[in-house]
Amino acid sequence: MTPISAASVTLAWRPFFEPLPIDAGWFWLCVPLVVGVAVVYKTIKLPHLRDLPLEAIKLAGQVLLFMALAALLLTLLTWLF
Amino acid sequence: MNEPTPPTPPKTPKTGKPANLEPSAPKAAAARRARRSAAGLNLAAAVLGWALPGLGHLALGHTARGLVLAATIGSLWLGGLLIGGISVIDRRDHPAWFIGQMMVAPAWVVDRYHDHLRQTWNRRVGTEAHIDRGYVPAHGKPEEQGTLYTALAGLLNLLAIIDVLYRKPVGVAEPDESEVFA
Repeated sequence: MTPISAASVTLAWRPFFEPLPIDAGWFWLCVPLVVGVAVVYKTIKLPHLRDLPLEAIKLAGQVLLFMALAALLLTLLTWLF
Repeated sequence: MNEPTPPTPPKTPKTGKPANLEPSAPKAAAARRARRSAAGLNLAAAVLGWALPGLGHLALGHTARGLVLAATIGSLWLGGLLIGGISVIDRRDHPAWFIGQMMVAPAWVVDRYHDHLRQTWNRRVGTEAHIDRGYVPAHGKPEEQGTLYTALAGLLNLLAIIDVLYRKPVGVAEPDESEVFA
């Protein structure tokens, strides 16, 4: 192996330059995404930020719950038909 | 037949005399100046908010709100880059996604850097250095999730920018109508 090609082969994961191996369990990534959306939405909407944690958790919970219900319904439909 | 009665002019609370509804020129001009100055401040804050999420709110004195927005939108944006790598920000190959991503200004820097690495790699075609691209392009789920995170962070920052355009700066009072129309 020449010095140039040896330098190009890296074994460790390089953050920002290599993608994360997330093929298994990728759907769990929707949780931080939903929490982020809920926090930003409530930060903009609420007049006082003291209610932010509770309101954001409530909104994120509702979104995740309805996503789970929709997933369940679609699974049932594909199982039935 | 009842004649419609003309509306009675509002009275000043102290004297009970009809108030002068003509705005006094200096006070109206001062109110206009204050409004223009506040609008300029909001516009500058919006540009700051685009440059770095939350910075606009911080500039207007909404410290807690600005910090929460900076932490949340920044985490989503950096999270997307961490998941998919810099290849998820690509103005040339994914222009539609880039519309969302560019609402966080540093996306332009990442795109330029990504393009620079790609062009450098393309120039090395035929040489042994062509093996090293400088980064590993994302495919499949990492690309999908990384793109989604960065684009959503950009769209959330757009919401924050619109919010900062209309948010009253801390410590700047609205001109009192009773003072303007004294």
